[in-house]
Amino acid sequence: MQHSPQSSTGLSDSGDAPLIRQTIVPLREQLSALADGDCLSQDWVYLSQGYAESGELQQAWSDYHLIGDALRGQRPVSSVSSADFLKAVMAGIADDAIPQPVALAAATSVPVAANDDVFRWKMVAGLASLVAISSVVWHLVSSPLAPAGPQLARSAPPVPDALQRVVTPSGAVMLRDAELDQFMAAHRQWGGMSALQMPAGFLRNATYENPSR
Amino acid sequence: MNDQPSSPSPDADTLLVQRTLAGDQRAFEMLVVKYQRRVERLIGRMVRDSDLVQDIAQETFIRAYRALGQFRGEAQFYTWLYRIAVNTAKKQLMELKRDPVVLMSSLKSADEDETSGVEHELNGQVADAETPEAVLASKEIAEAVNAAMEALPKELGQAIVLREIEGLSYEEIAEALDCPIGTVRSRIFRAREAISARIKPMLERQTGKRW
Repeated sequence: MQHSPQSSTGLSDSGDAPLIRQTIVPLREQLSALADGDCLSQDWVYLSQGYAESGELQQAWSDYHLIGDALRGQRPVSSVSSADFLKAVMAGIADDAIPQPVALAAATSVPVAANDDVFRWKMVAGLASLVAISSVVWHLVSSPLAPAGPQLARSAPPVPDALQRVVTPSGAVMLRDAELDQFMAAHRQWGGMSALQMPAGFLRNATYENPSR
Repeated sequence: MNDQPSSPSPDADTLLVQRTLAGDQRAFEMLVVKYQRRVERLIGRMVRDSDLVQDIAQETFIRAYRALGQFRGEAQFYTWLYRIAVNTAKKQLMELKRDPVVLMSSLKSADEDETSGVEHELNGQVADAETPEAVLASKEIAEAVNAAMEALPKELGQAIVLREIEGLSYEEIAEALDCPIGTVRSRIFRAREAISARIKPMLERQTGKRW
């Protein structure tokens, strides 16, 4: 609904439209119900239109809440009339766009960096990129094409076929490295100490598998 | 009167917020009118200067309008508005650097109010922003409302007391008074109309001075 010029004229407007006059009492009752949160959505259209065109309804809306405040023992502190107050608020938002729900706004807008509007940051970033690229290109151009030192890893070394499949008495298959086994056999002192207070050799881990009784 | 069961909106404020977001500034006007006095009372506990109370209250509603899209309806609208009002008052007072000691003690008390849900007057911690004329005007209105309440038929008085003071919903009042919801709606409306008629001359006399 468009905000008419009359909308900001406050609560004491007069000259209600004839159609509104005929329906003013039902609208006042709807307004009373709205004050209590008991307004049907479909009633809103008529109520809103009536409220926009009737200073009497605007005054009633204010009075209903004033009565409620008085009954609850709450004293107002305003030194400015509701009409003037409302006029000032509506003037403050007159040039504002209609607020959009956050979820909708988030779905339709691309996140923008906080310093996006600071142009010097873009210049600095561009300059830094240029320097980095220039440095890489200069390094490639100035270095000899042939490698100076020995190439240590020209090709992948062949995978040693030293692993052997060993079937344990329990039927499990283990992969053993013969060279590693020989090495560890020659250096039993590296095998760590077991609960037996002696080098454990190849013992790397333990299981809790007990034979079922 | 229509006594048929209806499907009312759960919260009038939420409806008004939705209508505002749909582009209906009238709905926002209604929210402003509804909460103006409450926001002023809140700010009046923090700020000595009554003119500044007005400025901060207006700024509160302007900020609320601009941030209305962030209101998700998970909390009561006034709870959301309350936080905006307190933040606006803090910001404005810090800018003005007015009596920060009183400011901080006042803001702390206001926060406690929100936590406890109780609105009480601060005892001398801040100066009362109300002028003697304003206090007198409020007193006159309160007396007129009370007199009008005493003159109401019993069923109307019960209905509006249950609604405005006890805070019951129409459904709860209907159950309490053993009558249809439509009757509750009608009784509360008639009570308001009767009280409004009683205080109307007084409000017109005070127009331009206070309201």
